[in-house]
Amino acid sequence: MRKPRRAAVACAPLLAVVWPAAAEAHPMAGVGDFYAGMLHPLTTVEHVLPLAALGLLAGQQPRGTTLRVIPAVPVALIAGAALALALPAPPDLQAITVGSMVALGALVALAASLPPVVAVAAAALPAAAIGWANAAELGGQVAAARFVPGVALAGLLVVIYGAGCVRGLRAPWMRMAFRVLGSWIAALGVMTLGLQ
Amino acid sequence: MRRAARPFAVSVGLLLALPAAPARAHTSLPAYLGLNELAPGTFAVIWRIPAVEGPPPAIVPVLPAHCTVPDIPTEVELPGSVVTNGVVACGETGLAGQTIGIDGLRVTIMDTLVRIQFADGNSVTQILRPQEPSFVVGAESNRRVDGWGYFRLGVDHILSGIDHLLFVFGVLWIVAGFRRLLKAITAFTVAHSITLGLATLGFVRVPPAPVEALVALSIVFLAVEITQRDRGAPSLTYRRPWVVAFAFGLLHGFGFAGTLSQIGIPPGDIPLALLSFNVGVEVGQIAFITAALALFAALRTLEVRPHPWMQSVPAYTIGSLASFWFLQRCAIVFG
Repeated sequence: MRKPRRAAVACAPLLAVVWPAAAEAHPMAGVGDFYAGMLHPLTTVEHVLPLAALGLLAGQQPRGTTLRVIPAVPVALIAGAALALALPAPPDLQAITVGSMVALGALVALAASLPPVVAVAAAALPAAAIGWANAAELGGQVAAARFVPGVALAGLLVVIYGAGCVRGLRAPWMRMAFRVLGSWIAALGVMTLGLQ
Repeated sequence: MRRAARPFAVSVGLLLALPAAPARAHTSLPAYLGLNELAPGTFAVIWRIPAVEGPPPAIVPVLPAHCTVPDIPTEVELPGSVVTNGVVACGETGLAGQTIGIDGLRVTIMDTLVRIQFADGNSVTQILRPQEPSFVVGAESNRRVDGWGYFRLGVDHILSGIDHLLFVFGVLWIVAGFRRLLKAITAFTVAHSITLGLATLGFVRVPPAPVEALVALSIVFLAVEITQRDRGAPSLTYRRPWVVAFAFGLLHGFGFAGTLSQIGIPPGDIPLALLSFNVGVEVGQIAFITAALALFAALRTLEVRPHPWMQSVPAYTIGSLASFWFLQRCAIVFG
């Protein structure tokens, strides 16, 4: 498969994930703890959009940085979830995840080229907050040992799809389209913050 | 797909598979609650819970409060299920307009088919899901599960059946080239449609427990084939992947049929149920294949190059996982 076509295939699940997230929320019950873990961040707008923005941002970086950012996401998601299981949730956790939507969306819109350490930190901090937010909503009947790996896998997949998409589709208008997408994510974040 | 990207892709698949493993691969088989009106307001009850692997899930039917149970119900353990028979007396109020639910369903990944047969010949059939574990018995007569209900059952079954998905994932990994992949997946689809049809229509009867054990063995077989390829000894699966996909597809079809047989479809609904369920399975399978191929494509675009020692880890992990399932299921067959 040629590279742009291959990358277009990689984009399909990203769209499939982001599109319904805007309309639906939390079809949690009935899919088992692991699948519930996968679905939870994918069906929460303030979780899936920062993750998608992270994927786009990772794809905009040089390859070495991209490959450092991607594994940092599941690790940070798990670390955040572990913190949630040990500590009470900070009161403004949702504001942090929504704020990360704004920040990451803006970085994508600017097509900012970040030093590797900064890029990893920019990925790890929001991912940890998302992991924390997901695990904080765990009910007593859900096993964290299965739920949290589900969250981590979902985050990893979204970031891989996003980064693969950006790195594969390099036509100037596509690069512009990704930046526009980033600005939309940032704008949605600002609107959500305003509504809060 | 470039070889370097495959183990990474499979590692992601394993991340999906491993935590699900202890959860049993097929807790998604549906339960069945049948209520047959013997006299006005008095119903014979059949409550069947699947127990293909290990003890049955802790779910209990909840009937309206005014219904009483005059005699202690009898419980029989059958291969693959636990069946409880009894009688409930609901008086003049009956069941119309009343709520029937399944307690505990919300924390499972299984559906429950409820079928009420009234003495006047009317019937009500409803699929209860973990998201909607109860329903109000409508006043309208002859309410049936529609095609959409069976379609959703098919989608749910394939997407929650981690063993079927792992087999498809193995086929995707082994088969190189779009045409060969299309041929293999089509062969798998045709094969499981044949056996699903034969079993559901009652032409062939296969006990579910040995079928589930052989489904696990089919994944072990694929894992071995992958390691053989890595040692430079490609076999039939590499030369003619569609043959292997077809052969094991026949087996997986019997596994899918287990779901439909568990719910005891009314005879008049069988053609609709079979078609809708099978379409649901195919749609779920296509969704999974699309997601997996997209992952492969993304990893290839990202030029992921893992260390050589990682190459054989996924195949051995898949093989170990499937071997565990196989032994676990054998213990049920012979236990």
